[in-house]
Amino acid sequence: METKERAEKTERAPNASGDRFMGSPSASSVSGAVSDGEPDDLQGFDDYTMASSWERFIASVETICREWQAAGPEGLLEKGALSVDGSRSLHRIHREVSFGNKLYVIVLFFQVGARQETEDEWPAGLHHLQLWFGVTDFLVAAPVTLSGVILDAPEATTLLSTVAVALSSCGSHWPAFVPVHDRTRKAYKGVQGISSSYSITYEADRIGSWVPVRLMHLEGLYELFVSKVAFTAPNTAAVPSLRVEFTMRLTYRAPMIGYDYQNKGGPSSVAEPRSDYDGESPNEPMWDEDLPWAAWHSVDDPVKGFELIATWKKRFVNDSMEMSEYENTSTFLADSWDLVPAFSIDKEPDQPEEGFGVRLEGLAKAFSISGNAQFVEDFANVVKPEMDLLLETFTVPPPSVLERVLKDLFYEAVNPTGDGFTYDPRGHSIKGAPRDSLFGRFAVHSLFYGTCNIRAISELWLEFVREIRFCWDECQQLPRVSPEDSPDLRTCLLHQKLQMLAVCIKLKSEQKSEKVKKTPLHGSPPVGKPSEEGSEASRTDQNDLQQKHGEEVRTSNSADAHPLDTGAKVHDLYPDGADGPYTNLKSPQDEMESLFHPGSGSPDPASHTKDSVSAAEEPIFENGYKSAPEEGVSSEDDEKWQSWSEEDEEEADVKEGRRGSAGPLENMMLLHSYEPLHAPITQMLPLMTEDMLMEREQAIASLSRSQSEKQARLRLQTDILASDMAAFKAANPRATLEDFVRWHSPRDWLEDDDENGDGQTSSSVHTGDSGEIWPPRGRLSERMSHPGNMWAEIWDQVAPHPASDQKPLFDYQREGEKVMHYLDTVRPQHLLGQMLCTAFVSCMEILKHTKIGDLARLRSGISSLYSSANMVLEPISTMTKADMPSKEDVEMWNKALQNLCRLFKVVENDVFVAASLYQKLKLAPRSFVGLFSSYLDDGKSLARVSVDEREQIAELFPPAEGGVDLESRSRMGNYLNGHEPDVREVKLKCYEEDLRKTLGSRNERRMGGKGMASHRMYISGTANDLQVALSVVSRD
Amino acid sequence: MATVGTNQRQAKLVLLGDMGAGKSSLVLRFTKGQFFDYQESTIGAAFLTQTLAVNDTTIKFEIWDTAGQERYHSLAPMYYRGAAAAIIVYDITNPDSFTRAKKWVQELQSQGSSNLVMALAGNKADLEAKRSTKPEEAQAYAEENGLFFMETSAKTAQNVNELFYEIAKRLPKLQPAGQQGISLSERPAPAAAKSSMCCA
Repeated sequence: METKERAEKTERAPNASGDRFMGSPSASSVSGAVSDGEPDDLQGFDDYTMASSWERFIASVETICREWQAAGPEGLLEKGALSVDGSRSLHRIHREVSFGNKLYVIVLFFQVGARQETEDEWPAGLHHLQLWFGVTDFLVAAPVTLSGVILDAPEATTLLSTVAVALSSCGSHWPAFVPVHDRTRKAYKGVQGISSSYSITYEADRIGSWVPVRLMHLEGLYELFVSKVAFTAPNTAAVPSLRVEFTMRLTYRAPMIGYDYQNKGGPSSVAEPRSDYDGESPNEPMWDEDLPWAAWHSVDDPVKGFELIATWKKRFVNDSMEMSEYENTSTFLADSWDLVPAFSIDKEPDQPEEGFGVRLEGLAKAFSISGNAQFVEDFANVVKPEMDLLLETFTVPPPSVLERVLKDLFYEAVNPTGDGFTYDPRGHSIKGAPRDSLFGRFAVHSLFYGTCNIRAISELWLEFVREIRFCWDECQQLPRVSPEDSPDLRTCLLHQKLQMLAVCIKLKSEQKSEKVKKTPLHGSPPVGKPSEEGSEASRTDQNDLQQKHGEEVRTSNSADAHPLDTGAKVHDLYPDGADGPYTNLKSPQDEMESLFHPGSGSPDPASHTKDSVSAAEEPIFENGYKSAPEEGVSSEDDEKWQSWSEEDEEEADVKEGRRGSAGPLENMMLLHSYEPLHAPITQMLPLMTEDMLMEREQAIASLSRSQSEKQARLRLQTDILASDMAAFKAANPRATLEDFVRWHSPRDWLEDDDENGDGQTSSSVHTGDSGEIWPPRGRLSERMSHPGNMWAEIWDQVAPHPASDQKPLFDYQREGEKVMHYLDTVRPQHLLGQMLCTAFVSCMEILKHTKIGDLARLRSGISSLYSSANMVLEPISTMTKADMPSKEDVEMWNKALQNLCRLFKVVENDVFVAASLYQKLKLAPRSFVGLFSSYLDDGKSLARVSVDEREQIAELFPPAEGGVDLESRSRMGNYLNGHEPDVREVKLKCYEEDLRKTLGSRNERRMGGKGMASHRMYISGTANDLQVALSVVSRD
Repeated sequence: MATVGTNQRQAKLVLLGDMGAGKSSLVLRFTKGQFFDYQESTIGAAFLTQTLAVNDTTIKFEIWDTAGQERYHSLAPMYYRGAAAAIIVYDITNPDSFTRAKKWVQELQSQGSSNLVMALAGNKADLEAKRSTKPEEAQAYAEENGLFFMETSAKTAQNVNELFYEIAKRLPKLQPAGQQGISLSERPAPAAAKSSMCCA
């Protein structure tokens, strides 16, 4: 038949079609004709003027090839070429062609970009045909059938011939392959026309079950190769020795528990869950149990196993004995070691995402809808119909979960010290709460409370506030909040409020316990005790009365104690009306008075009758309250104000009419009476949270416009000074303003220069113990003695009153109630905003504190997360109580938050990977860093193991269990810790010149130039799987 | 704190330092051009504003002038809270005030906002005869701590405007914008970071 003849003419792949590489070489048999789709035959004669269907097939393949050839790699990409999975730069494009009633697909695989000519003999990421045959770009022609292979040898030949003819007519050198036989055999036939003078034929096949023992060893593989080259029977003893180039790659695998590697006949880096693994490993600790997130959640180990690839570089072997030595050489001596971890690739779709990132997303979503209601209650209870729709999809966890969370927050509290209790805003300016503080922990709990939806969060919050109210009402110390600190203005308002509350609770319980302790027999008062009421004996008698009045006063107090009533009228603050010494206070700005006394009313002691003092109003003294000194500022000066010993207190003081003294101050004497100068016990300064400060700031600012306002403003700010002066006067009955200034503002007391006046007025001279001249020559500074000086004015106005008798500067009862009111009425949007900021900061801190070794890139990834979070969250965290963000703002935040969460998840995932790798590779830091940075580059990971880290890496492959019979011939050799390689790949090459030397002139006619390999064989083998691919150069 | 308009900005500025170092006098000289020999000791804190043009931007300084007495130290955080700039003033004739200034610097470094512009002002430079702190010493300290330093005299107005002008120039170009601090610009960061830190 015509077509058959043509096929024979153009046949460039005359090699064996049916023979397996195992068999002896057989003659080519191009016997099968294309039987289908030949309507011409039916006509009974050949019409040579008509193109046959086969010619048309060739022509259409040729068209496709020309088109692809003309397009070039870039053009093919535009035509929609896809990149090949698992490869770095290999792409594929395909086209279907029909031939008769059969449909074939022609696929071109091509490399994009210049392929780097590396030294690497075993480059990663090759297509298996590239690996097997050493080709770069190639065509594959396959039938479009279920199996995708050609079962029929003649059909294979025809198809291959077609492609070969088409390629040669368009002058292309692409090798072409057709898959043949069974799919599982991975058998191919191929041909490549290099030039008119010679071509290469390709052939690959596989044994998938039982592998002859001989072929399990390098020796046997060498013999197999030589037999192919020299046409000898592989089984004969007389294998000619032939100089063969040899290179070998060994792959060892150590999957994690419950995982297995797929055997793909080479490094695969795919580990899959074992189907027979039940997921339980009771004795196996969670990999992340020591990592900082373990308190909140656990993460699947992202590393599923390790592969070690040991490579022997190109070398020559001359006979099978030499070859077999490589089987016994220690793997440690291989030319290179590469470590490849396998990562979990596909999560099952029903498996929920792990980590903080997805939780933060939930919280961000809750924040975005939190503006829909005024009160947290609205989200917790489905009562409003319009909320119904919004909330019905949200579920709330069962009560047992709520109980557990509250128990953790309130009843398993640690002491409020240590790491998580200080807020560390380094690297960001987001206002949050410290990670382990009450609110900080609440925020993270809320992430894991149910699905972190707004309804669940709201219910949790309401319970949270209920617990706090209990603490306040019952004087229980607030857990996880230090009562020793004043509100930290760098934290979120809610945390500041809780800090304030903690202080108030502390003061309240101190006051309470003092009351209980107090007995009527108590005569001389221990002045140093903060809650001691005074020194008059009559005072104690009034205790009962006072307590009775307590209720009453508290009621009357409640008007100005109302938390929202910050603009309370000044009259309310003066229990006895406005007839205090500050009558000139009656300016229009009086109504702002309360702003400046966040603790209480004015320090007006004169009008302060004792029996009207409720327990809540009793002032708190500096020496009873040790306010935390600012960090970084030594408090040697502060101590002057705070730490007086009680020992110096003497009965004599009472006789002298001295009250509220904290003890004499160094060697200072009063100027006029030459008595020791006593420092007074002063009141504790009021504490303020940020919102209070802002109100105060605004008030002061609004009073700073004119001179008259300035006077009013000054008077409004004199509470502390007046309180100090009154206390000073009480402690030093015969003191003058000069004495006060010497104590309070020492630089405003100027000692006269000696040379300025020698003339002493002898009458007033005393000589002190130290022999000094008395009184010292000195005067107030000009500014203090200037007419109309405020200090002098106040000094003249205040009456002596010890701090204990004064109206308190800080009213803990009122402040505590204000905090509770804030907690009760906080807008959901503000609550969620603060939770979001706190949770983000806490979660980022957890990532930051994860042990990930020395990874500069991940560190910088984390810091870029910080700066992004800063940008997104700072405006949310600085939202004040009064702010009502617009819809646009919320929308914009929402978008930014989504991006931020996405970034968080990326970084978090990288941290998981780094933490897992670090845990396993701590001892091989260079390999670890190399793995992680290649992971960041393309999501895969591979690292060259330096020779000095090989020992540590080998530890990843623990010695095989049970005794291993290393001598057994049924094993492959090349042991590492007793493991034989999971895959052993060998490439063998024979060069023409070597072939000539060995075989003499017999084949001389066929020899080409120097350096040409005439035969190349790739073998990948294990004990039960052997894949062989052979390429042979032949000349016409 | 907040920003107003495109070319007008507000900046909270706080003055800290020992009593009698001349904080109020500096502010008065800057805002009103006045000087009193007997400037009253500040009680609580005073608030003043002054506007300054730097290039094409107008900066409105909201100045908080605090009391220097030790007793009021614990109230200071409320004044430097949210401040964009701080001037730490000492008296060149008084070594104690320089020591105190250093303490303020320390406190601001640990407590103040991270991008706070800090200036160290050695005031009373007109009293050369009574000098106790050498400018070199202060300059070296300032450089070590990332502040900028000037010797000033509220009395002769030496370097007073220059001091504030220098602060204005150093204010961060992009302050957190928005009337209530609510504003967000679309951020390219996640995409950029993604490309560099892609995962499988």
